[in-house]
Amino acid sequence: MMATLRKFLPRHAGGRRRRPLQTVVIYLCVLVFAVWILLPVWYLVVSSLITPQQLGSRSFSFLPSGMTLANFRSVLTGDTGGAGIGSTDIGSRLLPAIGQSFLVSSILVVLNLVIAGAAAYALSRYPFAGSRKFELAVIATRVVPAIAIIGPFFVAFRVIGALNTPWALVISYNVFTLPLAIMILKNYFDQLPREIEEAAKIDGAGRIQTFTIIILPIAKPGLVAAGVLIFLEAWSEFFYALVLTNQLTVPPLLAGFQSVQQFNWNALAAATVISMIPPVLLVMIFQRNVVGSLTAGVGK
Amino acid sequence: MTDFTTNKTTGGRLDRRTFLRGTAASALGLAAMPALMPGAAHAAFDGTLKMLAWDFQPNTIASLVDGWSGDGNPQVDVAIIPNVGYSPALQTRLRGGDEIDLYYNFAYNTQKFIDEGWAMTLNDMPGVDEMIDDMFESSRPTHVNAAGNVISVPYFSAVHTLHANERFLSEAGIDKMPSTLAEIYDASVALRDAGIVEAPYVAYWIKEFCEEYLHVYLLNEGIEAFDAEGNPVFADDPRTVGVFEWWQKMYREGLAPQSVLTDDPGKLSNEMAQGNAALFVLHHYFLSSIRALEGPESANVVLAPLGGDNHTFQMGEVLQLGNTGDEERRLAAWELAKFYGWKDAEGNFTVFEKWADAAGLAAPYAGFFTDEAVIAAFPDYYDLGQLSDIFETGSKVVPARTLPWYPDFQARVGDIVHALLLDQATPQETVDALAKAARDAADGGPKL
Repeated sequence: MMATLRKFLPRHAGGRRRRPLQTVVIYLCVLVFAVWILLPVWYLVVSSLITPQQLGSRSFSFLPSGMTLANFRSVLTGDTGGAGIGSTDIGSRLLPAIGQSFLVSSILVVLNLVIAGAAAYALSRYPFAGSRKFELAVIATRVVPAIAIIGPFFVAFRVIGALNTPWALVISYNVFTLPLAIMILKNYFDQLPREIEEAAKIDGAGRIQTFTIIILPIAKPGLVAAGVLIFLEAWSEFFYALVLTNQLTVPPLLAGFQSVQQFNWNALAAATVISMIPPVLLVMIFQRNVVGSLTAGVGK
Repeated sequence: MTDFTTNKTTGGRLDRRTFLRGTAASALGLAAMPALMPGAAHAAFDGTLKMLAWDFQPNTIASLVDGWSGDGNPQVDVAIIPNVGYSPALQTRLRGGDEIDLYYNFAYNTQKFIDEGWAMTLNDMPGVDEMIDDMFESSRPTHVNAAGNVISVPYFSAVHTLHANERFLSEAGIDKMPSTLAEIYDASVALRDAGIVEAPYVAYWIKEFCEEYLHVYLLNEGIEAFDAEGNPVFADDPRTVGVFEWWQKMYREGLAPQSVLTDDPGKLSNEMAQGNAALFVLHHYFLSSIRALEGPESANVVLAPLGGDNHTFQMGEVLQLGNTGDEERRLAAWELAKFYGWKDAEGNFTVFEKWADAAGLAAPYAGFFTDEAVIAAFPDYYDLGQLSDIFETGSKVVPARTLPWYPDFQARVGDIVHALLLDQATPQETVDALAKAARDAADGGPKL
């Protein structure tokens, strides 16, 4: 029996089979971790499908008996009734905000992949004196808190008249998305075999040709992974959007549900679930690329 | 105003000189009247005003402001951002040169904004004295600083009130509505021991809000936290330690639920509506939330009257006028401020009536509570006479809250009070820590 079971048990990277107990422990840990991650999401989804009375019940049911789409209806139509003391017209603003978030995130993905792709490739293939320090400096820019640098951005955008436009966000988000993209892509390019490029060079291809014809196609999974992560970062950004725009995108709009300490959790949950659909779909479509690219090089 | 029914006129001996004098005086008087009437003067400014508000019923804000513009006043470009993060966003915008004519602000920021040059004093604005006169005396220190400068206009006001489940109290054999901290403790114990509610008392004790409760509980026992100069005199009052002993006991003994340090008001309102709690202290307008939830106990929850000489804490957020543009633009912004924070051109509380209807928010004016339209706007479960009395004589604002150093103190209160509730500090240590935090803030930062 154990021998049969062992046949189906996963192996270590080295090929040796794990002991059953070890496997059970690993899977238990994975299960606990998955529950830890997914429970709040499940709570959110359930909250969006029940009434305020059910939500307020002490014995909160994670599998409620009665469900309603009223919260979604009220969010989309703007009729949040008496319980929605805060943002009553959220419906008219949520879908445009989702559209703006999508626009900002998409432009940023394209822009970042072009700039970061070139930068990461250069750092990977043509290191220069101080390039390591340059890489560290790029990473360091990510630790600068937004509130410390948003002032100059605000002044600049005020002067050029870009406040409360998607462009204010596209430009300012580069502060934290570009370093992320460079880090991911540099790591990915480092894993690609140089022999292919050398062969192309022998065949007479220039640097740009090698990059565009040879490297980009094989770097597609890395580019997709970086693109998805940039998209998610831009989608969920709050503070720049708060200061530079008037609730143009989703995060500050959802934050608007909390007003004068009064808010309707059910409506907030429904709005959040709706706003989660685009990024969740994106991750589901590209999840294989994201996982593959982020683990590139592991085990080598 | 000139009286045209004087002897001179009635006697039929109205000469040309007298007539001209009378006419000139009348004209002057009539010319001055619109400036004194709330929102009566149509602004000469013909540009567009900029207003910034936080996200509380933005559609209502837009309709109110559109209505004002439609009455021959300038257009207003209203920007809405969330209440969460409002203060840093507003400060970044003003520091970055954004010219905002009128904006919502937290009362504790007002003097700081004046000092920074982001807001202007309103002393010389037409009608400002009438507006202040119209206000409850108890509310004035929020809008008039110690130097006598008018620094803000009301956006809304509220009083911290005990929301109590009458049916539960009656079931527990409690005849008199609890009002002192000791009575609240006794009532909570009785409710728990009778098996009616496990953790009867709820309040919004998250770190960011502990500062309001500091004043609620101190005032409840007749203790003023700060003197006129902003010194933390609560530390010298022997009764203060008792307040913190009570606070710690309520949490330690489970009379308030363990989750109360992180619970939001939506949940707390629901706890009252569902009958999971019996006593809830927060702004009076949360009664609207509890009733609107239509839980099994919603209809049994009422606002408790204040007992004896007790006071409660009166809070409110404000409107400030930006330091923008020329005189005409400022006057136009002031007209908008008067409309939004006092009365419209006809002397009606148009804006406050909307907020009363929307969420039970109040205005710090005696006339507000007797205005027929306002009375009609409030749900009938509010006892407006009682509420008005609390505003007039039963509540106090804390003038120190508008001082420029106060936000630094406020930011520290949550940590200190939570340490007390989690048994990491004694009541005496808490008093000392709060007093030190206040002095440090006033001195420009903690001393090492």
